Amino acid sequence: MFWPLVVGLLVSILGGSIGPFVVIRRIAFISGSIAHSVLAGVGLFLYLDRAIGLPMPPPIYGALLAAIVSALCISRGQRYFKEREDSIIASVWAAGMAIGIILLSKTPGYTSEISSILIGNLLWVSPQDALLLALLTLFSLLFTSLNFQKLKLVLFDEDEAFLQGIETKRLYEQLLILVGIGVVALVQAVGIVLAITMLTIPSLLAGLFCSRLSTMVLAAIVFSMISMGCGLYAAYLLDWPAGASIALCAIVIYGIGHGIQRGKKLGKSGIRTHGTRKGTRP
Amino acid sequence: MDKAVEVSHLSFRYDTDCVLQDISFHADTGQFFAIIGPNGGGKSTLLKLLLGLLQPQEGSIRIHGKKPPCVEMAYVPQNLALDRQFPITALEVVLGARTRNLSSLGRYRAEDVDRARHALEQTGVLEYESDLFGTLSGGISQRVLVARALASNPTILLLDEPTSCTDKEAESKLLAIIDQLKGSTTIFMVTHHVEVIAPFVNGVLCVHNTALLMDPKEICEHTSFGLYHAPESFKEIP
Repeated sequence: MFWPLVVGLLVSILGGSIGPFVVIRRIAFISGSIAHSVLAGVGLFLYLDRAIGLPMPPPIYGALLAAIVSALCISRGQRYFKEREDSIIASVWAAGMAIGIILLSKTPGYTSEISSILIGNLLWVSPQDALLLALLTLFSLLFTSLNFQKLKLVLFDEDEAFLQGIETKRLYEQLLILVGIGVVALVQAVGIVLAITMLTIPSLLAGLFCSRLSTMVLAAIVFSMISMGCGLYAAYLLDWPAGASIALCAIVIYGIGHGIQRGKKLGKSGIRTHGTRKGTRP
Repeated sequence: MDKAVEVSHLSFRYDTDCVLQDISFHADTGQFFAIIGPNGGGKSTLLKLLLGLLQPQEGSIRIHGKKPPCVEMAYVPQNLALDRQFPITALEVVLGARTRNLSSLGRYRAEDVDRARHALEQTGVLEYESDLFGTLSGGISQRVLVARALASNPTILLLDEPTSCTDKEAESKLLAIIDQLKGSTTIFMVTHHVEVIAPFVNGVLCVHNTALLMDPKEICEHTSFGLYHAPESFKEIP
């Protein structure tokens, strides 16, 4: 249980530090697209390894490659082809899944890998997985802390960010790549299907209680850790799949958080005037 | 006098839709211009071209002799264009104008925080510095955005309908702040309330695909009526 806990902790930090940007920019659909398109990378690495006989690194590296390529496709597609954003996202989503399914159908003996990619394999992670995640988490924390103010400005007011000399398109693209990295980490923990849940739910919950982006990031990390801990414990106790247990715990905690906030609002009486409640959400 | 802004034979179109055609004007340092015109006439597009957010297909724009974007420019966007649910305080909004000056670790310096607070004080909204931007009223949030523009110490200030969602009192306060900047800062302000602003400005730029620079003395209550309710046949005259 030691390595699953270490990986769970790292995934919480990584997902929690990226999630608030996804939520406030409203790019959860993009995250879903990247999460599903990682199947193409997994399929490619397994196909080259098993069907062609080319020695390849573990499929998670293929997932990482596919996530970065998908993030670049979405951001470049938006920039150069001026298509409707949702059309590009849907195309990347479908293309990634289709390529992955075709390559996997031509690969002998892929069942165990594909099930761990689809529903997560937190209970079977290795120290090597933990090392890769530690590096990705470190990179993500460094990037977000060094670029925090710039990211905040780009997401709030892109025109002002441009006037401040920030290369807004490039920074947004880097954010999407970071989302891709976060998605791959979450795919390891909860699988493709539930990765988007863990990227958004803890951040949505943090948004209920925090009025500033910086505190929202910290709260999202804490809520992710609580969900991971409770989910793993439930999986161990009830013999449930770990990924689904974690996602379900996150949703239950989000529901409780919503209930507490609603109770607080109902408990308050009197007419509220604009700008008098310091540092609280409307 | 130094030409702060010089626009010559500027044309711009979105795909095939021509928004601005053969526009020429210039503004000297410290002058205050109002930009008026009907919706879709190209006022906001003209501001975006001046800021360097859009590139003209024909003609040229020079800001102090250089092509935009220019570090000495500040912009007050339409209040409604910003996400009211974004978790950001009024002080953080104003600090956005100091992002160019971030430390190597990506943090704001103490002098930037002081400058941001001073700008909030200038516009009379320092007491709201810790409030969430989205919880502020239209007039207060507009003054926060003006404070953000002032925090970067601009020599050219562009305002896009800053009084669109404010009452008369807030509007007159905002005009008083802008009037203080006149002389040192070149100002362009998009507005639909031309009669209110006419006494303050050096010129009125009527934008409706083309642009006509008018003397504020020529502006009366019939001007905006004529501009906004011109018959279609009149509008088609180049």
